[in-house]
Amino acid sequence: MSEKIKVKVSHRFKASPERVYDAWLDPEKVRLWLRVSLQNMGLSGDIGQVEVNPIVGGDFLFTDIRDGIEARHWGTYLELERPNKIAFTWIVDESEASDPSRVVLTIQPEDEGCTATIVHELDAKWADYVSQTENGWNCMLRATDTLLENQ
Amino acid sequence: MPGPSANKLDYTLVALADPKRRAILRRLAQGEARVTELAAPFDVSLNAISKHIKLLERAGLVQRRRTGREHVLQFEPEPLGGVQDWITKQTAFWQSSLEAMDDLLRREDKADKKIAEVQS
Repeated sequence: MSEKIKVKVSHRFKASPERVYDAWLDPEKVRLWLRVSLQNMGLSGDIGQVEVNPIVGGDFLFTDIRDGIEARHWGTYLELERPNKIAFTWIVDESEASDPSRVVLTIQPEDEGCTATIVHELDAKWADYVSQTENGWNCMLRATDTLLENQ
Repeated sequence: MPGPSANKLDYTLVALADPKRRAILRRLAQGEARVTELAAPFDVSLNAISKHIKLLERAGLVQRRRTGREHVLQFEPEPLGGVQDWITKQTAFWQSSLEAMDDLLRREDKADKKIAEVQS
């Protein structure tokens, strides 16, 4: 029984692990890729602040403007192992600050380039409500039976 | 990358985090019930059950209507879909970020190549 909800994505890069790692932590580069990423999501990609303090325990803050309102993404770097791993908390709302979600970026070198994998994890009992393969509340509720039996 | 609905999602998660509240939801998923009926299987006061129900209502997982002196409660599955939406959106965001970063690094390569050509 899973205790966590996980979002996992991977992408193959031609660039070296070092360059991918650095692009994640360099404010100038973050500004560029975040803008394109948000635009691909159908948002304006109007980036405001990008602050990065790339030390373990250091904070970051990314902001962008959505319909005139500032959207904030912030967190703390938990692990920084150049060029293979960056782990950080990821917060989008004050209410999550006490129990933030956690993101781990791993960069695996390959013959030419690397593969970057992002795993975004939410610690939660409610993880079992969400089926990654099936939709609908029926299976979510079925999962609650299992959850309750295990407590 | 959740947008303005972050709070709503949070309410859903808080509501689902408690075993009693999940039990109430399971019961309501089988059909609507009065508050007193919901309280019966639990060894807790009506007041305590009311507090649980309030959190479920805040999340939009339970709807309340009055019939005479009774409050009848109904299960509302829609917020559970919100959790699924979060996953879908977050997946799209990270995927998109990695692709955007790849584009950026490829453009840098091209620029470097051009500079090298000019210099040679």
